[in-house]
Amino acid sequence: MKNSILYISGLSMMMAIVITACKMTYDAPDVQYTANYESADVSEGKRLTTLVCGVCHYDPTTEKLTGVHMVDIPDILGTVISSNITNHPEKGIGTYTDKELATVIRTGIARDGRLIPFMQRPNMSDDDLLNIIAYLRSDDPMVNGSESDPGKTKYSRIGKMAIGSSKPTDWNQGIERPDRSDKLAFGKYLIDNLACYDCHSKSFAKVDKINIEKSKGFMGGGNKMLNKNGDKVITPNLTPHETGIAGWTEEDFAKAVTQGISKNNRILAYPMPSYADLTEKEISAIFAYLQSIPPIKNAIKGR
Amino acid sequence: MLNIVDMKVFVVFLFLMFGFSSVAQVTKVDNRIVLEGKSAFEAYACNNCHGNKGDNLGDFSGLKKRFSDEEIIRYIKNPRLYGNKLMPVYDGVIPSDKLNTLVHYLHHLGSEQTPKKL
Ligand code: HEC
Ligand code: HEC
Repeated sequence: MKNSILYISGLSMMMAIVITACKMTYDAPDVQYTANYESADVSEGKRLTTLVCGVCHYDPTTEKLTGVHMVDIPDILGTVISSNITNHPEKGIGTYTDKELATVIRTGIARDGRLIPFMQRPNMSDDDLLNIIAYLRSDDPMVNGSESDPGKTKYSRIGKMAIGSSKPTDWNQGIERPDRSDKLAFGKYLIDNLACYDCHSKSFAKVDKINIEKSKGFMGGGNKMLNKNGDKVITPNLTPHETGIAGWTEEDFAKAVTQGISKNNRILAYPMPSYADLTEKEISAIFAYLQSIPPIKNAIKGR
Repeated sequence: MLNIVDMKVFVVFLFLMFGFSSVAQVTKVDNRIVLEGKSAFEAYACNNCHGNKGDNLGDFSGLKKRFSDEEIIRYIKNPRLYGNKLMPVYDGVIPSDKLNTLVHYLHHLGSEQTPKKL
């Protein structure tokens, strides 16, 4: 009798863990948001969207944000496909409201309640958010409604657990972008907004999306990803340690990030994005910030 | 004395010999260029995005129609000139003999692809 009670309570506890661990949908958070288009800068929005969203949503064959199969995510997690976010009413996000868009970007909760942890930007400034939303509504060729259907994400059991252990981030408003002349603060903001820290820290599962510097092995590399041929690629260490980028010049860094050619002419390829649209000022701020963070000793093979 | 039939057989035989050996010659050279192209395609990480068969992105089967060989080289050296923001800027990274080999290899890959509808 006692045994069976123990057994049953143990079982239900395990089930509770499994159920909470697999929580994948959430109620819409309480968000008040209206996009004030009059103060939006659509061309800046295009640049930001290319840099921040294009990394995952841009399909070079359609030359639009029609979504792609994200092959850098190991198959063991399932098939992850980024959505068509052109403004097509059925295949795209043409019927998403501004509030729903702002919500998915800052909290990770899509309008149907599913959690999309890849793209949470809880610290994105109000200006950047507005510019991106205004651009997504424009008739620019990259977002102009396309029927292209990239297919649907299908997580494996392990993938579901990984999503289940992710959390939505709180909705915040009134976030200001640091002044561009404050190099360290602006550099940190860019590393957050462009999610360099997400790939370049120890593991996707151990990053802190609110306070990025608390991510495990912050910017020290070692995250395992896949390239387009399914080969393992380990992200390099970008801290100011000799196993990282100590000894690099700002020119070395700029060439790697904007042109895909790393030190000693090493070629950088997928999944490292090419950030051709970053300005010199932005590169310089990112580089200055990286020089200021704690060095981590982590030699990555093959670089 | 050879009769007519024998002559014919002989001529056909000669023809076949010659034909086979020249075909063999051509495939040998082709194979070497293709192998060199393949190793350059991998060494410069082209396959990382385009896939080993070059069918992952873009369309190499239509390349000849759209670009001259010189233009393909210009493209590889600086894809930004063509609005491509994703590819590495290979100018000064790939030596010119390797660029020629690559162009050849792209055509080879393209010939084995069925045209994609973009
Ligand atoms: C790290 C990759 C990544 C980045 C960066 C990213 N997304 Fe996504 N996005 C995804 C994936 C993957 C999905 C689909 C997830 C799923 O199917 O559950 C998605 C889904 C969406 C959806 C939901 C559409 C729907 O079907 O409900 C919207 C809207 C969206 N993204 C907008 C954006 C915007 C705007 C940005 C830039 C601010 C952005 N994304 C950046 C990967 C990304
Ligand atoms: C989607 C994951 C991802 C994101 C996001 C990302 N990187 Fe990378 N990065 C990589 C990978 C993987 C490599 C290694 C590529 C290779 O070896 O081909 C890399 C390589 C690099 C290198 C070359 C380092 C070396 O030692 O050769 C630099 C510099 C770099 N990234 C900077 C950045 C910066 C700055 C950002 C943000 C603006 C960023 N990365 C965003 C995955 C990413």
